[in-house]
Amino acid sequence: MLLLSIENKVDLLKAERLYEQYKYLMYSEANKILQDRHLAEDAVQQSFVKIIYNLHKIDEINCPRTRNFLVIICVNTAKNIYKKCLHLNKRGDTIDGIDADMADTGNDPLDILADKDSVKQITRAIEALNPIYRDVLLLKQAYGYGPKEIAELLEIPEETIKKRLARARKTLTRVLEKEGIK
Amino acid sequence: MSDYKTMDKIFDVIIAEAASIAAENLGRNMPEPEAAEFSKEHEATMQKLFSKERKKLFYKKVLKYSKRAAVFLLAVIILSGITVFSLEAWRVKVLNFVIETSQTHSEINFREGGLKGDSYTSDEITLGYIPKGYKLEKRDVKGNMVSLVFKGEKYYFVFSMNNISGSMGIDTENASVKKIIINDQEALYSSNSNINILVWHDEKFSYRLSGTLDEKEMMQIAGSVKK
Repeated sequence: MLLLSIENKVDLLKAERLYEQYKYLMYSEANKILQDRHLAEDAVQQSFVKIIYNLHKIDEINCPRTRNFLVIICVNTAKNIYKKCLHLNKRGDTIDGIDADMADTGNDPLDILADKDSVKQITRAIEALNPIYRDVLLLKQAYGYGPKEIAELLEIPEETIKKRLARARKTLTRVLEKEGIK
Repeated sequence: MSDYKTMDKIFDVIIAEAASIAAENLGRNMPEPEAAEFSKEHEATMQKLFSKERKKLFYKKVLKYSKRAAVFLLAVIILSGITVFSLEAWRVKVLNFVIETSQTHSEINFREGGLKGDSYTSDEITLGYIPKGYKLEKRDVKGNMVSLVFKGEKYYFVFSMNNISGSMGIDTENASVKKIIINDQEALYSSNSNINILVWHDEKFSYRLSGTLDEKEMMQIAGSVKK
């Protein structure tokens, strides 16, 4: 029983430490979207309900990776609150010109793998992506979530998540094609 | 794998690596926020949330540990075969045993005043009858107890012999238990869907057979013990 108490205390400290570390950042990011103090607080609260269930995904409290993770959760929670407030439940986000079929350019895969510039270019392209695509892509590729988990985390239909992932990938493919790498 | 699929796989690897770097970069480049003053309601809600989650986590862990404990207990019962406890192993007890059967187990008590059994090494104990397909796999001696493990194509059976001592408990939950006679002495035969157990004795020793063998085969083995 003592062991259980100690373990709980450790988990609780993690959640509370995250809150103390990032509450202003989360509030600030939420407030940029909502422009309302109370709604921004709601976004922080709702975000932490989700974060508490995902503490296992967070290894280190004070690091850029965790910082980005919490902001993704909070910003998307704020967006959901915003949509609910304005009754804007739009679906089917679009990006121009990404539906073109991929063509095999005949490049040697090993050349691409060996090219560190490819990673740099894709990194830059990911950072420049529209956040609605970037967030789901990062949750999948950097934080190891599946589409279903992302859907639950961001309160977005799973189908939408899959579409966004596919679109993000196509956009990145296009970047590489433009650079003549893929 | 076609070039197209290979390219796709490699592209996925690159995206995964780039995504990790991008997540770090984005987190690092975020501007530092200004301190904000939160409402009392907000702080109270957060504290309530942490407290609620702490309780949930606690009950979840209690449940988890309880399940583990139950599985561990079950494993101990199964692995231990039939012997649950034995009292005063070195005291001399007697021949007749008293069988008390409850819903979950049967307890066999040996009355005091009997003869002390001789010591045997495992090599001195043999079975005159061994069911077809079974071969001796292992001999073991622990204290006064000699065990012989026989292996068949699919199953094992275990014969063990011990000085008559204290009491012996066997798991007879969901088993049919009956008293039978072996060598003019009262014996116990327990059977359930997984394992059959025969416990009998003579003047100095108690014997036990456990395995998937049926009653007839167990009786034949019991009548063939040589020492």
